[in-house]
Amino acid sequence: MAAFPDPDDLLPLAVATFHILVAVADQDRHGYAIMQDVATRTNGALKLSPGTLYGSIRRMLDDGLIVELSDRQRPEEDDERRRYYRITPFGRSVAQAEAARLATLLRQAKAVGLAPGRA
Amino acid sequence: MSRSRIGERVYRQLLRLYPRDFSDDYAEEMTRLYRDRARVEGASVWVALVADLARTAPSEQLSTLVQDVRHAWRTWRRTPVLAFAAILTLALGVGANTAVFSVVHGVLLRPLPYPGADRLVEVFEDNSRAGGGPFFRVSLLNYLSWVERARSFEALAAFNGRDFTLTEHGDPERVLGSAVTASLFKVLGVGPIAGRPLTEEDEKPGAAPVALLAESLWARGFGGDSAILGRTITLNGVRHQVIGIVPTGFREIGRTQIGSAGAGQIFIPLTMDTAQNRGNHTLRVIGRLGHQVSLDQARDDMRRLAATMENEFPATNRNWSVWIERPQYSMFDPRVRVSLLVLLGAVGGVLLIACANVANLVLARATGRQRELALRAALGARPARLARQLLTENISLALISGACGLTVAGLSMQALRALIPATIPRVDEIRLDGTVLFFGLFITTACGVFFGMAPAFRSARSSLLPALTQNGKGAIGPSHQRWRHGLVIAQTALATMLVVVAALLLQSLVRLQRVPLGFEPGGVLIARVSTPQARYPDGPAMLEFQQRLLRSVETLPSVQAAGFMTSAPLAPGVRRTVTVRDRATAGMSVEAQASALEQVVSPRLFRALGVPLLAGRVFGPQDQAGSPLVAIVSEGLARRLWANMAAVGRFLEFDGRSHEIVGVVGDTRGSDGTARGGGLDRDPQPVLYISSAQFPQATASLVIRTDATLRATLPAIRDVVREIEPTLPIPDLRPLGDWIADSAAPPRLTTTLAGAFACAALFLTVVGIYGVMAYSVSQRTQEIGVRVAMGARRISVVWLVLRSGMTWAAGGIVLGLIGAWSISRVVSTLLFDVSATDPLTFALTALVLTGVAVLACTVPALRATHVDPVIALRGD
Repeated sequence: MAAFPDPDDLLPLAVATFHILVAVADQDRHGYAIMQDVATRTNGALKLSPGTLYGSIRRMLDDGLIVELSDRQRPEEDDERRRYYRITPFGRSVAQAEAARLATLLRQAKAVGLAPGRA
Repeated sequence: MSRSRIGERVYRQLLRLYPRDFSDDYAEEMTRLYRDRARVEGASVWVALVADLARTAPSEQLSTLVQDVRHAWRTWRRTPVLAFAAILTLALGVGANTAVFSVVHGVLLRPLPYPGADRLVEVFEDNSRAGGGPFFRVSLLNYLSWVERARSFEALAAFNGRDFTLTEHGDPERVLGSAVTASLFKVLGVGPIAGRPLTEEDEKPGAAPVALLAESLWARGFGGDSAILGRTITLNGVRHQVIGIVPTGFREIGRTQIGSAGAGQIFIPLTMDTAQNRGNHTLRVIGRLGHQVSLDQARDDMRRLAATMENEFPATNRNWSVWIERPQYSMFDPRVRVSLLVLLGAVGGVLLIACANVANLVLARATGRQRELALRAALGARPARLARQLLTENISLALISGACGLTVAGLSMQALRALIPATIPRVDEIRLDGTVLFFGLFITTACGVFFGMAPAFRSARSSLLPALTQNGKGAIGPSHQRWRHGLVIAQTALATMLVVVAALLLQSLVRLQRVPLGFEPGGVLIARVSTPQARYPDGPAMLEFQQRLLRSVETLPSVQAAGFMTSAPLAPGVRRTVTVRDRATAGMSVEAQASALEQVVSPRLFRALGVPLLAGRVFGPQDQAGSPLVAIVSEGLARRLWANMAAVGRFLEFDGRSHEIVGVVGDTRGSDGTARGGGLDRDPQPVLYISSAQFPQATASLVIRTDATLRATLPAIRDVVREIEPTLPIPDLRPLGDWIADSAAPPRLTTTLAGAFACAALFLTVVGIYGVMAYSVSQRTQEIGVRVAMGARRISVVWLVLRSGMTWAAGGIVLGLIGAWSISRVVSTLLFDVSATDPLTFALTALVLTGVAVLACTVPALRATHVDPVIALRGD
């Protein structure tokens, strides 16, 4: 397989992509769980619809940001045989790069008084 | 069924909007997600779902397409030579087709630039029953009768070409134009862009002379200044008031002059001089059909009217009917239309052959990729997905070829425009417009689908096992072979047809250029000369001026003879057809009567043009204005009137006068009275010569026989003209040979292009047959190896390959000959003195194609003899 590209090449990430990476950063989740997680974290402001969610998942799989778990790797309590997704080390470094980019942006916004808090 | 179950079903159906592999992968999960959300949110979830679907389904489709195109790009890059060969072949095919189509579209299909142009028609007098053909000009009196009595037209208009001498800026200038009826504006639906149109008052004899200028002349000669309106300009020495400017679209009228490429620049009213003879066919007539009137209805209506008029005016109208044609067709020779369509067919044939070759390449490549495809199928790729991908590969190849093809078309269109004789109308309207681009795109896509589908279907149905076990080779089944052999047959057949047509056209052209003309064009120079009417207002003055001009020209050392005639053969000029009859039979039940082209000539014209005197004498000094009227007839006219009996001494009646025949001269080609003039291929028409001393004419063709070149003669002639008459424009002398070459230009162009297409077809067919046979030999290596191991001799191996190849090629040749025979009726309209089913041509073509096919098979056959049985049997 070809070497992974520089994480910066994928920036900026689409909003949905970043949210999905955040959702699977601490634990493996299936589609519905990702959607719920995103909705909870955004207080219901962002509800990923099926097309957006799975369209993003497919591209993230192609880009190597996440992987789909095999049957053996699934949590045992799941009886619906859903598909679970796990973040890859490359996915993690891309998410970190995006977070850093956003942090820089926020810092600059604060410095000119566009955001609450101090620079 | 519960409401949630129905919702789930609907959602599942909607998921089909996504690409197949996407919905195959995620439909299950997405439905589950729907179910989870519907449980919580109820029916309101649909608002988000529909918006989501509308946004993401198209983008997923697009991303699959992008993926396929990327994949296509990668796979084509793995076989660059093959891709290059395919693109080159298709680009040339598409380019040539688009270029030829652009000509057909610009010249034939694009409507004329007038509102409601589909209702415009040109009306002719039809002399077919007397053997003269359907495209004669119309007499003024017949035109006026039609205007009064015809029911099919909203309006009719008449016009004829005029030469004008414009003396406005220093040197007098010769400008082409037309005399037109006021109704022309109504018929065309186009008014002046400035000033006023003509009115019926302007047409009355004795009305104040007025003129309209074409936009281009207005801009060029008068700086586009509207102050010219109301002012007067000098045309042929007479002051004309400029009353209006007509738009460029009007040029079509100027163009319809015989043999004239130049656009009409000046329009004056056609004077309704009703004292003319009804048999005097000088006008072109166009009409606008009434609403709801079809072309056929108008033809019926006018034929009935013509039959009535035949009874009313038997002396002039007997055997004359009416023919109506759409102007796109009537503007030029119908053979131009046929040749353009034949060329379109020929170039389409080349494209089909090119497609067959590319299909072969793609098939061979698909066979080679059988393992790859089988492997991907084994890994879970669905057949439809693979087929879609192959189709994308081929269509993207076709589109690249198409883009290159349009470039080729653009370039070759430049060349075509230069090649097309200027005498074909609307050549400057040939361009790459939307319709032409659409045509190019359409044939490109059609090609892609044509050669892309076959392998796509094949691979979709291919079975996995043989492909994986037999190293890809065994995977080609008999149906694959059938495809390839079918392609060989089809392209050989097409190539055969093209070669037959090209060979027939070539023979026809050679014969056309060798046809005896009846005159000697070598060293003859021609120009139209209009006598300045203001300075020479009456007949005797005009005659005196013309005689003085001829005498001075003849004093030049390089000039052998000079003369005037109404219009030189195959060159522009006025053509007037008259009906003549033998005075001795006048009023009898069976009159000796014929139609003939009237030529008013000066005595030494026959010498200047090189027309032989067969009996009697030519005109001489004794034939003066007051002396007995005389005439000279062409051999054909004499034969038509009196068979083999002597003509000299008989009397002819026409235009209500009686002329004694004093001589008989040879027939000449290119002189007939049809509106478009005669071509080289038309049999010589009867000609009646009368003396310019007895019937002076203001405008005529000056014919000079010289032994020097045009360039050497021109300055001397210019000096003579300046000395005799400074207001006369310098004659625009041109070798008669050039006019003759112009008249043969359309067939020469057709032949050149058809020949080029036939060569391309032959070349592509050789490549195609070679490709199939080489491939077939490589597939049969083992079989041939066995044969060699069993002691087969070389010659029998060669024969084995040759026989299989030649069987298919022979089938194609036979089919092609049948095809050529079946289109012979169309082709025959383009041929001169050659039968469209000429057995020798057919036989020679079959021989050439056989030779070509043998050549194409020989290399693979010889290669087969080098098969080493040991290596072949060991397998790969």
